[in-house]
Amino acid sequence: MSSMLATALLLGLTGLAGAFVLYLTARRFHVEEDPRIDSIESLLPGANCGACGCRGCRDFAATCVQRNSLENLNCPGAREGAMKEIASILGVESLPESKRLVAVLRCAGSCKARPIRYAYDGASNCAVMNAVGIGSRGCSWGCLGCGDCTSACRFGALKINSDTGLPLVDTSLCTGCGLCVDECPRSLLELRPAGRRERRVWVACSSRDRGAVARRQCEAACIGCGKCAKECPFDAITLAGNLAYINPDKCKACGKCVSACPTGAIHATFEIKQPS
Amino acid sequence: MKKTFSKGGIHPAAEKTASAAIRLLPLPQKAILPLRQHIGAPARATVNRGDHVVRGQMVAESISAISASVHTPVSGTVTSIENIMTPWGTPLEAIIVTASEEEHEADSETRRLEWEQTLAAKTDLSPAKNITPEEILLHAAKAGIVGLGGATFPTHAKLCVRPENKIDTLIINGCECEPYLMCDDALMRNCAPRIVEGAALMLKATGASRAIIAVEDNKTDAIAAMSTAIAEAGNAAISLEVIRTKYPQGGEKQLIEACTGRRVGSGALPASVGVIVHNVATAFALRQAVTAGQPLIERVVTVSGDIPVGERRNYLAAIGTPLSALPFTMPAGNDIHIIAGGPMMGRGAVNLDAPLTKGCCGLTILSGTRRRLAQPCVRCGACVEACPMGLEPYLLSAYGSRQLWREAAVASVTDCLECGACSYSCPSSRPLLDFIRIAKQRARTIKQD
Repeated sequence: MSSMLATALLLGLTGLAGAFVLYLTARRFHVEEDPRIDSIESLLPGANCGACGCRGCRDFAATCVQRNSLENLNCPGAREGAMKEIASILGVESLPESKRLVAVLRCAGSCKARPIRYAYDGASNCAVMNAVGIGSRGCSWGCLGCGDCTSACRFGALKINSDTGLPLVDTSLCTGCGLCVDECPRSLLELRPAGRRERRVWVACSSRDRGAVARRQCEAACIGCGKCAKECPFDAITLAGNLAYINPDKCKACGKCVSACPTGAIHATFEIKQPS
Repeated sequence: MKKTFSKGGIHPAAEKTASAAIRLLPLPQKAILPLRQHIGAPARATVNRGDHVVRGQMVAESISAISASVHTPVSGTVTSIENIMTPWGTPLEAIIVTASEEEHEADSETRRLEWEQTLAAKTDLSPAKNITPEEILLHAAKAGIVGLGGATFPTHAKLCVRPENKIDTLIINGCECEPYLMCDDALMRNCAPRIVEGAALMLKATGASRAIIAVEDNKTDAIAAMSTAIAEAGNAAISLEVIRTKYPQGGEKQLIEACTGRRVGSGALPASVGVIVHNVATAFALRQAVTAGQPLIERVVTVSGDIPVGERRNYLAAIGTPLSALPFTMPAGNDIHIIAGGPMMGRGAVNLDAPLTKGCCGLTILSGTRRRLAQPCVRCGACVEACPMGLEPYLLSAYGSRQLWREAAVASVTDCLECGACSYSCPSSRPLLDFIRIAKQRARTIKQD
């Protein structure tokens, strides 16, 4: 009995001594941390995507507090109003919310427009497919469809559409962080302003082949004919290397280029009224 | 026991069933000459649209130390300089020369006569005696010669030995370990004296004391032809080394180890151990350039694979001939693989309108699925045993698929020679090399940073 008591006492005392050492260490090495860092972090999405330029959400919060201003600091992934709340926590004036960016796919080579022409039996990975050749669809510029971008997205905003074989951007989830843009070996994703009332127009093709060649490879290719550039009332469309590009800063999303395009390479997020 | 390299290696079925005779493939009416058929900077076009050019004329010049000029194999008019597609579909700038009927006939006749002379001549080492190393380098550069084994490194740059590297051994690589391909074998059987002459020129250019012509032991006819030619030449510095058949015996570092027992360190060049390796076809091309004054405008290519036996042949084809001009009957069925090069290291060809380039050893046509669905890694270590560089392919491949480029670089991914022995030996059919190749590319850029 006494040996049991002695053991319990000894263990208890050792534990107490350990606890005391821990207490002293914690006091000695205590780091005073601003509680605002925690409260700002709780407002962030926590995906550590790096789109803000910091090394993750915690780092972003710490930088905000350290600089005590929101100059050049913006979390594109934060929910609406979150940046205002962060500003009020810091006690600074909130900056006007910058334009929300979303990713768009600059390829429209669906299974129908661009059927599979070559068998590919390598690893199902865009980077690998791109390294060994043009991929199974015969276009050296377009989407390879293996979904490297979908696995790069930390917000679940990209999914391969089984009908078209192309990734589809869910704009309600897309934060415009740009991880997919860096991932695509053919740089097919582009960050564009979400636009007023979600109205966006973009060229859904990246082929720089000559018109006839591009058309042979894909029904929905931009052939560089320039009709859109002529039609645009705002001078927003430029042609370079057989490919049209719509400058998002000048574009007013009128949709005239969409109806002018002979191949349907220009996509819009809204219904185009056909000129009667 | 014959010599070979010590680590790894595999024994795929050789399938060297093509006929050893070299047929002349008719000159193309329209030659497509890419400006970049080599490692290094693209050549710069020296002709304009509408210019008239003659057979053997330079149409694009090398503009940097690592680059090679391009010559036209046909006389005719430059019809355009435009972007074409490589066999695997990427764009590439090329000069297109179109020949008229008369020019085409005249060129074909001169070419036939030249080839007959090449086949008939006896070994003659006198040109190598009366020439300086500088002249040989100049000839090689002027003729646009590149390594014809597939790596396409400009030959003049390789022959130009830096003073700090003392080269004592020259190895002429006649291993041709890649299954199906027989172009080097055919060249050795038909033109052995020319290869020996080329080796003598290379000896002179590099100042090496001995040349070893290495041939795998499964090429008995080539061995016989080479030993006759060497005996005829009567130059004690040139010898024949018969080595064991094993893939990838033709790899530079593997061959050096087999022939000399020296090991080239990680990331080092063969010159660091005093050796230089050239392909037999390169030696042949050098001889043609120096002695016959012929630039690199044609090469031997193999057409083989699952096609009728009578069609598995070797051709002397002009650079710039469309691949579709190489005759073969397409096998029946849907699952046809046309590979530019051999089955181990070649690349799938999707565009047969693309031209034959200097580095293309032939076409391999395979039918049926060879690649099964990838299964999980079972950690058997077969790939580690197969790797001739002593790497760990399963690990490098995992780094590649997880984008851990830095870790891959630390694990010496840049030493990989992309021979494909790992993918071949994997019982789970994992696409190991696919990811290693990506990791290798990215690790290189990290190292440059």
